[in-house]
Order: sequence, then structure tokens, then C-alpha cells
Amino acid sequence: MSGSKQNDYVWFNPLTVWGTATGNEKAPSICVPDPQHVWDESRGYKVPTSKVGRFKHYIIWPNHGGRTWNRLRWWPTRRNLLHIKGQYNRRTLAAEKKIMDRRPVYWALCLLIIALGPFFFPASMMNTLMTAGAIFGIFAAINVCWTLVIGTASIFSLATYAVVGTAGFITSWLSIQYGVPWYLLPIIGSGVGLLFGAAIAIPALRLDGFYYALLTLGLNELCRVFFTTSQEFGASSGGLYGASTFVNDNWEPMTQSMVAYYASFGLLVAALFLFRLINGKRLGRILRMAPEKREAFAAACGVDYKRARVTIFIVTSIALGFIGGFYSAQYRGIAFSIFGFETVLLGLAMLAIGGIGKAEGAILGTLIVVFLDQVLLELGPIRNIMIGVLMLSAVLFLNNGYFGIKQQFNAWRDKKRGEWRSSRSEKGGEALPEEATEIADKDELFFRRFDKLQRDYLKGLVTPEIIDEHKTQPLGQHSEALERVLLYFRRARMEDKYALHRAGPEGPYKIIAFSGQRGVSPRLVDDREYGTLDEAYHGVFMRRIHDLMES
Amino acid sequence: MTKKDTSPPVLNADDHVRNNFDAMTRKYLLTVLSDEIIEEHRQEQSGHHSEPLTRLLAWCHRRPPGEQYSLRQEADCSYRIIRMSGRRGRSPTYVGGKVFNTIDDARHGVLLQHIKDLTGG
Repeated sequence: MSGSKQNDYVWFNPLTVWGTATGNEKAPSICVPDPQHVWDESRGYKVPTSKVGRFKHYIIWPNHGGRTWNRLRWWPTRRNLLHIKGQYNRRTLAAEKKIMDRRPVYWALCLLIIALGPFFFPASMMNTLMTAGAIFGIFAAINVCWTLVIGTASIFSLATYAVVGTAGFITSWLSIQYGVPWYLLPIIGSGVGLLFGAAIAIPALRLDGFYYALLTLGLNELCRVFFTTSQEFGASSGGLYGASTFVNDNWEPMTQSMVAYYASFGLLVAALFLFRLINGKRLGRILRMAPEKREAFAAACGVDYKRARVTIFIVTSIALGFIGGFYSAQYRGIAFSIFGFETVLLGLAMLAIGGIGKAEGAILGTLIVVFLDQVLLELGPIRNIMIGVLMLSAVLFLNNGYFGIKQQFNAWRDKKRGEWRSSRSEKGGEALPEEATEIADKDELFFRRFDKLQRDYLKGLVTPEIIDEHKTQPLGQHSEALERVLLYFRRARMEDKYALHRAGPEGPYKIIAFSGQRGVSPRLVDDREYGTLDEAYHGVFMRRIHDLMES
Repeated sequence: MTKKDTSPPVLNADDHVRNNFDAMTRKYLLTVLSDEIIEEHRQEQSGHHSEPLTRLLAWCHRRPPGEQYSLRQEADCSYRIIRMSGRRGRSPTYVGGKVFNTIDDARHGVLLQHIKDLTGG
């Protein structure tokens, strides 16, 4: 029977033909919908769901069963080249391998692209790109070291370029004055870095955050003023030039560019190894236990985070000094602009764009800024605005630079997923998954679910028609809708089940409720009195209907 | 052959009651039989049905074996209605010449056959 005719439905009592239907030969009633609909509706998702289920995040490739546990390893260690999980597909039972951590693959690909870059640069921009590539290599190396200081060691130092500059100037001066060969310059630079680092590491033990940044900025300025005003360091010529170099003047210009490019690339790779050795090993792990504002807890756990921070700072300063020496050996000298405030700001922009604390972030940021600053020269001052916009949007919208997007997106997605989940789980007497795990009797869980869905279904059947029908004839045969409701009421548990109390031999009747406990007498529900038994039956029915609709 | 075997079958009290109940049920079913419930069955042969149709189907299900209908799938995958003989060893017979292409149509055809028996038409 269609829903439109629901109100026209008349129920015929089967007892009529027997002549035993008392007062209800027929009654207007409603068509009863399929109870399965309630279950389907309740169990269905109320949010759009994807047909494919969970998207595949991992590259899985087929594998010979005998080689499932074969791994490439870094000789002579047992460390795997890639974090690969060998497994058997649950459905097809085929042997397959799954890369759990794909970052080494991406690193290898990106470094390969940088290494092969010069062979694919367009001829018209060859010079510009080669120069920019060399600058990128050196700046990326500096930023990788800087990210170790700011990210891993959580020391907000702005004196990174001051260390590089000082080492560069002293090594250039030594090379010009005393003819020190180029291969000694990075080593001497490392010594300068060590002294410089040790000097500025001491206040790092006492000063925090903003004050330390101010101190290092002041130090940077001090270096700038000192070097720009001293005659020995080329106050008149804007810097030092003429140091010993590994780039031979007699080579062809392209060869010189190539050597400079690959030397910088080598420096970058060395910086990355340093990052890996510090961040990925004991020191990095110690400091990950002691992030900002949780140092006290880490210290209470026995983590000597101060020592670890200073160690990283000094090691990084040595590396920065090395880069300073390398810089003068590559460019034959160094200019005062290394101490400039704009250099510090540009470096900060590189870190902020890529994301602080990650080597890939430092490199991406450097790549973007160097590309904008060195390659797109024709754009003019608008380049700086573009860098500013990139940095601003990274700071405003992203938690940890452009390399933090994935993590941020995952966190956002988890949050949304939680919201969706809560939107589709309504309680209504049913056990929530959280409490379901704590209920040992699983029959109880199913009973609660069944009862909830039964109530949902029966609520749709409670209409004026069936109430009238019950009022006319509380006992005997009823229409299906009323029968279903009455069946539910009858099998309610004894606790709080309604009954009638007859005050005298002929009434009146009062509604009582059983206690559900042996020996405990029923309680009187209300003071209303019913003159006849049928009225009292209907009174109980109405009370149960009320309870059902309220639940 | 003994005397018992040759004597005509005597209705016992159970059969009397059953026949009486069946007559009453038929009488009732005739009051609720309508085009609507036939149409409802035509649209969906199994699953949840309205109360009158459920009562009609319940009556159909509990008819004695000799009055039951069944379906036979032919070699060409069509269906025909057959009637069980109700006697052991006696094969069923075809009822009518109607051939149904789908099993749903055939099931509905069986219901119509039952209704025909009910109304005596």
C-alpha cells in the first residue's frame, strides 16, 4: 500500500467473521512501514563517503616471494637503504613490498636533478643560472646549518651570517697577506667558527628567545661596523678580494662556472650529511625530548638539554666557519653585504618559507628566494615584495612553512574526520563505541541497539488513529500498527513496568509501577483514578506512549 | 486388502475444525482482498508486506499439499506453474498453459492462482 493512502487505510478485524469482534469490527489505522528501513537508515553513513574506501598512500609493487625479506643495506651496517615492509596481500596472497618512508627517494631524485641541472639549463640563461646555482648551494648549506641552530637546538640565533662573514674575512685576509693556499681556508675558517661559536654560546645558556635574538643581531651589527671601518679588511674597496682559489683563471669561463657550481653542490651535500648526523642521531633525539617551554620536564627526566644545545651550536658554528672559508676560496674574497641586515632577513625568509627545523624546508626556501632574487633580475624591486608575500602567507596560513603543509593538512583532515564521526554517531540509548569496549556482555550491546532502533521505528507508528483504536477497545485483536506497539510495551522489563491497582471490588483503579526488586512494593505513579478497567488500561497505554515518545 | 483400506476416508474432528477455520479465514480474506494488495504483491513478491497481504499469503502458505502450487523451470529458462498431487509417487501436473519469463512474474502468477481458488472464479 502506498504511503499516500496511509490515512485511508481501514483495518478489518479477522474476528468479525467469527462474530466475536467486540466493538471493533473495523478501525481506521495506518500502514506499517518496513522495520528494515530504520535499521538501514541508522546504519548508513549520513555524510558522503567515497566508494573506493581508504586511498592508497603507499607505493606497493609486486615482489617475488623468496625475496620478501631481502633488503639493500648501507655497507657495513645493517641499516636499510629504504624503510621497506615485506608483506603478503591479504586478498590475493601475493608477495609485495611497501615503502614506509619515501623521503630518501625524494631526496635522491631532487639531488639528482640539482646535480644534472647544468646539462639542461637553457643556453640563453646559462650564466645567470650557473651563478645562481653556486650561490644557492652555499646559501642552502648555510641555511641547513642555521635550521639546526633554530630548529633542532631551539636557539634563536641571528648571528649565523656573522660567523660566516667573520670566517670569510679572516681567511681572505690571511690568504691575501700571508699567501695561505685555498685548501687551508675552510679549515682555518672552521677554527674561527669554533672561537666565535664558543663566545656566543655562553650567553645562550642564560638568555632566552627574544633577548638572545637581540644579542646576536647586535653582534652581527658589531661585526659589520668593525669590518666596514677597518682598513685591513678593505674599508675603502667594499670588501676583500684576491684570496687564493681553487677556480683557475686560465680555465674557460664555463669550466670555472661548472667547478663553482659543483663545489657548492658538494658543500650542500656535506651540510646535509651534517644535518642528518646531528638531527637524526642522539643529539637530535635528546632535543626533540626538550622542545620549547617543556625544558623543565625534560630536565627532570634526566635530559641534559643545555649541553646538547651548546654542543650543536658549537658544531654548527664550526661548520659555518668552514662555509665562510669555502666562500672566500670560491669567490676569492668576501663583501660587506654578508653582514647586512637584509641578508639576515633574506635568510630568515628562506627558513620561514620552507619551514624551520627541516633540511628540505631550508633548501626549498633557499631555492625559491635565490631564484626570485638572482634569476628574475628583470623584475626589479618587485622581487622583494614577492618574497615578502611568500613569507607572509607562510607565516599567516601555515604552521611550519610549505613543507609543513602535508602535516597540517593531515591534522586538519583528522579533525574533520572526528567531526564527521561525531556527527553520525548519535547516542539515543545505544552504547557508544568507547563504552562498548568496556561492556563485557555483548548481548547487552546488541539489545541496546535493537531497543533503540525498535523505539525509533515505533515512534513512527504512534498516531491518533491507533490511540483512538486502543481507546475504543483496549483488549482483543488490533491493527498491525497498534499490535506492534503493544507487543513492545508488553515485553518491557519488570523494573518500572506499569500495572493497575484496584482500590475496591469494582474500582476505582490507579496506576502503579513495579519496583523490579523482589520484596520491594510497587510505587504509586500518580493520584489519578480511573472508573472502569478499560479506561485504566488506556491510561497505562497513554503513559507508556508518553515514555516511548520521550525516550 | 483389508476392510480398513477400502473404507471411505472419514473426517476426524481435527479436519472438521480445520475446514471450519479455513472457511472463516476465506470469508475474512474475501473482505480484505483488493486490487491494491494484488498490485503490491506484483511489485514486490518477498519482503515486508501490508497486513492484509501478509494474511493472504499466510493462508496460501498453509494450504494442504494437494492445493499448493509450485514452479517448474523449463529447459528454456521459462517458468510454468505446476500443482503437487499431494500423493506420494504421483507426479505434479501443469496448471494452465501460461509461461512466465521471470521467476517474479511466475510467483505472482501463483498468487493469482491462489486468489482464483479463493474467490472460486
